[in-house]
Amino acid sequence: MNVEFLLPEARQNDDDVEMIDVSDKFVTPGETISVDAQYMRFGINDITISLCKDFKHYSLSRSHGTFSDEKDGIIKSSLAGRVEIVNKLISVRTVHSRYNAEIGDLIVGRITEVAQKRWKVDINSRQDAVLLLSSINLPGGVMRRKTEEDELQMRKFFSDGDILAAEVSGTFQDGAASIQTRSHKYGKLRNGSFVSVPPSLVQRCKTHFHVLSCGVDVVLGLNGYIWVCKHTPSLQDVDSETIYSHKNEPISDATRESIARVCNCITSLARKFKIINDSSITLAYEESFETQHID
Amino acid sequence: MPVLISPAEREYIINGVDHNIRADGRGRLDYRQIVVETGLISQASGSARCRLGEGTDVLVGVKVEVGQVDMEGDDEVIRERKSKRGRVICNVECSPIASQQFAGRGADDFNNELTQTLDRVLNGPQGGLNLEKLCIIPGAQCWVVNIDALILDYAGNLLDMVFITTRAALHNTKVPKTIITETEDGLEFDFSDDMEDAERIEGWENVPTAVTLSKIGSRHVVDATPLEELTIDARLLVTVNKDGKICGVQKGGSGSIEPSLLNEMIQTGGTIGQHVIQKLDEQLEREEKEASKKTGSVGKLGFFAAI
Amino acid sequence: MDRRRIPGPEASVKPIIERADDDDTLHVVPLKTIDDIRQDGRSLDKIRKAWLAPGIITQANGSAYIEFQGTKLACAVYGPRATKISAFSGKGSLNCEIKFAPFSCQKRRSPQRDPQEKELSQLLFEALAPAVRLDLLPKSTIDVFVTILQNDGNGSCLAASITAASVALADAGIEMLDQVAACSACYIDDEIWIDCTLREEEHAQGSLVLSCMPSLNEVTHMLQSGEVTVSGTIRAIEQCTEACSKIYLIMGNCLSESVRRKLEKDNALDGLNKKEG
Repeated sequence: MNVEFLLPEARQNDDDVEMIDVSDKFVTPGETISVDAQYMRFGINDITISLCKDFKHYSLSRSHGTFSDEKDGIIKSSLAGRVEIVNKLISVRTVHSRYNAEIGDLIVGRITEVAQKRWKVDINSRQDAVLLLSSINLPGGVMRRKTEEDELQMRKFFSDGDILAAEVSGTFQDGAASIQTRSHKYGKLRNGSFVSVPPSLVQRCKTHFHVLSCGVDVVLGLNGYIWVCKHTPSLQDVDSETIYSHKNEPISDATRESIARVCNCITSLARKFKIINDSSITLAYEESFETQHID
Repeated sequence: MPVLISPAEREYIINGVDHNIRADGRGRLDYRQIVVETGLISQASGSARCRLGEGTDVLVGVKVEVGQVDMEGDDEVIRERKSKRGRVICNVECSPIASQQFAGRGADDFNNELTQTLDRVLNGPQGGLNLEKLCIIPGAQCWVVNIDALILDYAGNLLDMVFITTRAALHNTKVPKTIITETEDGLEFDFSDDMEDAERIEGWENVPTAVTLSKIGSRHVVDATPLEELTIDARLLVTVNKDGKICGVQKGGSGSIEPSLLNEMIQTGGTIGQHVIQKLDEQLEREEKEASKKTGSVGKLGFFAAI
Repeated sequence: MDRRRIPGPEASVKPIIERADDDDTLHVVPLKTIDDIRQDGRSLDKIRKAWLAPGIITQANGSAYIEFQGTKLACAVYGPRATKISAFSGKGSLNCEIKFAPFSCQKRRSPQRDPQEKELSQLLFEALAPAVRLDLLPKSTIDVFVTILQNDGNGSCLAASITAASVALADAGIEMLDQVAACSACYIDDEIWIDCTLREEEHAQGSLVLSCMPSLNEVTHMLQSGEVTVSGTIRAIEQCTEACSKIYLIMGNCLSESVRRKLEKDNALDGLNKKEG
């Protein structure tokens, strides 16, 4: 039986924050990012600039978080955040924002609604994503055609509240993403616990399925939803009957404690706005043993 | 705030509770850490704010006003008793900033439920406060203690926090001193505006605190997180005062409880409640000592606190 | 001197009011005698005489009327009917509403639902939900309406509502795991009085309302207020559970009586039809 009461602490100034890049600029909405002499418009989102005072003579394209005044071509920021330049793309990255789906992203979502031949999935974005019946693996073989019975039995596959890992295959005009779970590593998630963090803390990397040394698997969704579960060796041909089962396997006490510890590490990292990837989680996990005071 | 939960997560949580390792590593009877601060609101007679873990944030303000004595009752004895007492009026409100489902009329039923529960415990002799002391002129005027709780953020375990914060706020509440003079028209009173003369409200240490025991599977847990709250069958709210007396029991949720488990839960609730009161009192004392150490104006951290 | 009018006395005195005791204390009718017999002749652990009749409202799918001497109320059940809400739900929903008639209490109550009634409705739902098989009725709603016609004890009103609602649900033919019987009690001077009237409640230090499913031995709802020791609470729960089993018998008898009468009526009609046909 444990109850702990604390007094509030004053905020401290973070004097040890290093500025990574000299050209790191923090901007607010309406602030000018750079000035250009001439520009050309390509597609929906980009404008090229030839001259730029603050940065080297790059021809820069404009991306998310910026807009430009038509007349003089000045690029201004529309968000409050840090300016990011990746090769020739200039964008503004905020701390807290809703997730914007891009094709190829791995996300973790929760089913909110079962509709006609599709599911609506909450992915922490401004619109619910759509999972079509044709985008999932049907039990009984990869190439099975979907039948009318499948349409009527959609709840057998995914029901309200289910958590799944999926990949963004496209976006609709209104900003809703279309997701698919055609690979065997995607699909219904079980044997674990759910954590939610701000989406900007999860960055794109080669793989989002990490196996930690403590016997715990972590699925880092780019939308900020993370699934921490017991380690299951990946099986090439998973039994088709069990991919849609919601029965958990038995989990040992030690694994349960590790899962809880990893969840707490992730929440602490999120509270301090640190990037979340497998190395930061592992570091935090090891540190947590140093400060353990409750057995 | 999640409103849906998958069967896999539900099973994970129920099994975790069974093995005494919950989703965040706590044991069944462990609370998340609570940060308490009193005296934040200068306009109120007393105030306190509590934050639980990462989420639930409750702010309670107590305002003491002069009002009419309540003299309703069937029996003459009852009326006589009531005419010599002050009154307590409670109100709990879930601010829409806590969750978007509290916007507009969404929270009305929920607010009402919380208000009635708080009112049922605090209004009456079990509420702890010395209502006789709050009477100014018997049969006419009395002090009315208005307790208003505002929920600023929601992460589970709301009622426990409301009660703990109310107790802290009442510890902080000062009632102005009244001077009663006898004139030909009867008794008249006046109270001094000087806050130095105000006395701490009597009976605050007898105000009960609440422990919500949630039945998950066949076990019960204390301090449920929002995901855990989606898996519970039934809840039992046990309010207990520092002497270990039960001041109220209320079952919630749409499940049923077996009588022996019910007895066990009431006993556990009683023990935990007393423990919570003891720790809270120690904390309030510590806060007072810290405040008296600092010379000059005492700056309250309020909403600028880091945690 | 004026002989035509009858003169009053020259000196007047205050009227003398008869008092039971000589001292200046207020006149009080004792709640119980030395032998622990209450004002209405009951002992401390007896419930009031109950009168229960199902099937009194023709429009409703199921109904019940209950009287616990002073407390009178009627309950009607409509359903199961289709829910208008489009959100999917695997289980049916149970919508309960309790309303005090404006003339039911000492002080007139507003015709609008006040906060106390809203809370009582929520408590009624919590007491009935464990018993009703809502999982067999997806996408359906059951409406339970209770109107309290006379209030003689707040605790007994809630207890009677739960009991009547349970009988009405059975009368409507809705599948249930067990009947829910409810009972109220008060703590007066460290003693437990079962099923108190309004007057007895006013003198109480605390009150308890308990509802349970006697065959399954599960408590579906409990509401206690007032300052009591833990052992006192546990004792009260035991006594209430016993009283609930007595109420359960009454409910069972009434329902079987009413079913028997309906079937006999059917048989009689069948007999008539056969004769004519």
